[in-house]
Amino acid sequence: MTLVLPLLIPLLAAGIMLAAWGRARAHPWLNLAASGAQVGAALLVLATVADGRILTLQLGSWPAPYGISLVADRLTGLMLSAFAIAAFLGSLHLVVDDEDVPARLGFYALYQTTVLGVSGAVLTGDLFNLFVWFEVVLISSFVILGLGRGRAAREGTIKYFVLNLASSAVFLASIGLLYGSLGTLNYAEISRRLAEAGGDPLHQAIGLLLLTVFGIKAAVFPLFSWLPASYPTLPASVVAVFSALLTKLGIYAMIRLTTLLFAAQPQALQTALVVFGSITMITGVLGALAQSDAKRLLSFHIVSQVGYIVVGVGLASPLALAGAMLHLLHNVLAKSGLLLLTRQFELRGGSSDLGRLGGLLVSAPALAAVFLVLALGLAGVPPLSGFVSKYVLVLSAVERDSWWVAAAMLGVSVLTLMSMLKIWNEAFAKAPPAPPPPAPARTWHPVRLAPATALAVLVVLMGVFGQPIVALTRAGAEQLLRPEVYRAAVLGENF
Amino acid sequence: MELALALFVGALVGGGFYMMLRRNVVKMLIGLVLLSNGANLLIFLAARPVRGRSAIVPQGQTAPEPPYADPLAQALILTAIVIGFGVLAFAIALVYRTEVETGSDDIDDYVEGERP
Repeated sequence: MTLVLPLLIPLLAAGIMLAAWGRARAHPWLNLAASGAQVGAALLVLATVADGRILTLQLGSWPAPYGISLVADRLTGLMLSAFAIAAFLGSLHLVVDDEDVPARLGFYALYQTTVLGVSGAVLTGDLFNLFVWFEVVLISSFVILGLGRGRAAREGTIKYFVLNLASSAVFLASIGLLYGSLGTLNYAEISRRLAEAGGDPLHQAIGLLLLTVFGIKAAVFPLFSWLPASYPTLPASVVAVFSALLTKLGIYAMIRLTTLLFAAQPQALQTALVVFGSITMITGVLGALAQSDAKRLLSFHIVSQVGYIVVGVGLASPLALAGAMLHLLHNVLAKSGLLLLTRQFELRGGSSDLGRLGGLLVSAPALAAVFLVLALGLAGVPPLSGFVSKYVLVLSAVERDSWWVAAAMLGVSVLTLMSMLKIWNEAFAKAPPAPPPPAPARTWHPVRLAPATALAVLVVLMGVFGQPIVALTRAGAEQLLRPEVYRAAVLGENF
Repeated sequence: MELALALFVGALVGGGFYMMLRRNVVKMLIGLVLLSNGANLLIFLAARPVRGRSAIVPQGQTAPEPPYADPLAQALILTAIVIGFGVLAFAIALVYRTEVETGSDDIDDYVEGERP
């Protein structure tokens, strides 16, 4: 039951919202309640698996590997919790500031189906089921993007749509080839058969195809252009939640690919991950530095931070995987917070274009304080959460004698700080441009800052009191690097 | 038969990718259709199609006699067809709305508001 709860809650919530289609004013509250319940369900899963147990559930009582299994280990628990917290704070933001989202067109139901899709994807133990959950997330995000205001939203949706659809077709093809070669779709069984099959080049090719697919979903170089093209057209709360959910799902799939499915022969995949992850880090932050719109700048940052996590997955030592998971958690908190703040830019200054903002340090000191905490957290300044995760990642690179990678990580950190300074200088420190921007339609209300403040507090807490989280991620990494434990849990000892 | 199917899948996927790279959005949609059909057919091909022997258990026995057509692959393809059909319906509506709002069906004209 523990495993099914994170799936039932968003599904029921979406169903109720569709049934109560006309009562659009109740939707944000229903969304908040469902997201809160989801946090509870996710933390329940995390608490159950924190001691190393692997929970399994065979759907329909078909024994593995013939049926679809739901499996939860520490990574699943961590990701479920991160997703649920991000979705909850996003729904909180939508309650205090609804940003004119089209509630009458089912926006909140789509919000819940997105949460459903990401929860299902991290809980499943079957490759085709993963494809289905990915499609659920994809279609929900397509429609949310497409419902946006103005032609920019439509144009952004087409770009998001084309690349992601190509990736779905390639995913399908890879699943077909893998099934034809191995005869199974269950992770544990694929892992076992690939270990027995040795280094067959066909399997390596399929692995690289799957890596490409997940790379597109995670916005890895060179296939990340969909992200800065589409995210800035979204309202701030939606882009905050998307940044926490969609790309991290691609990273989760990469982790499973290299540590579980191809655990026997992961070297080619890992090399590709380190190389492309490093390039992603660098191109992402360089792209960010070139932007003059706050949302677009932060969107490029998402790409850069994804690069960090991908390099951690590619280095694949226990420390590197722990660092990847820590950085993922840190990003869910810090990046979502920063993106929620761009809404305040729009409310206070009229737009998120940095050229038209100014003087917010004087006119909105609380906003400046929250932004400072989140921006320094993102850049990796101690004692905030970014420092903890980046320290672990750089240490893992040095431990593996990957000096170039470590240097790239540190260099990109400096550039990240520079781009945060750019936002600070443009939006907060400089005087407001003349003529003054048009008065915003909604008046300022301090409670609108609450969700971002909550995230800033979490960033500080994760940095200062991060030891238990670091311990949990290290335990999670150790568990990931022993796929035989997973196989035994799913298939039973006698397989 | 399998060689012909494989070449056909290659043609579909190749044509699909080529069409998706066109400037006209409708051609891009056609490319999408070709690509998803190619991927579906690839699943069919990879699961070793068997001519004329469906996976039905004969009277009085407990399992179909091998070789038989793989029903799981057919289930996968059906699911993928349905997902693809839903996405395509959305895509057509999206392309129509975009063309109405921007007045152009050329992807190079879609710049998310960043006009120089």
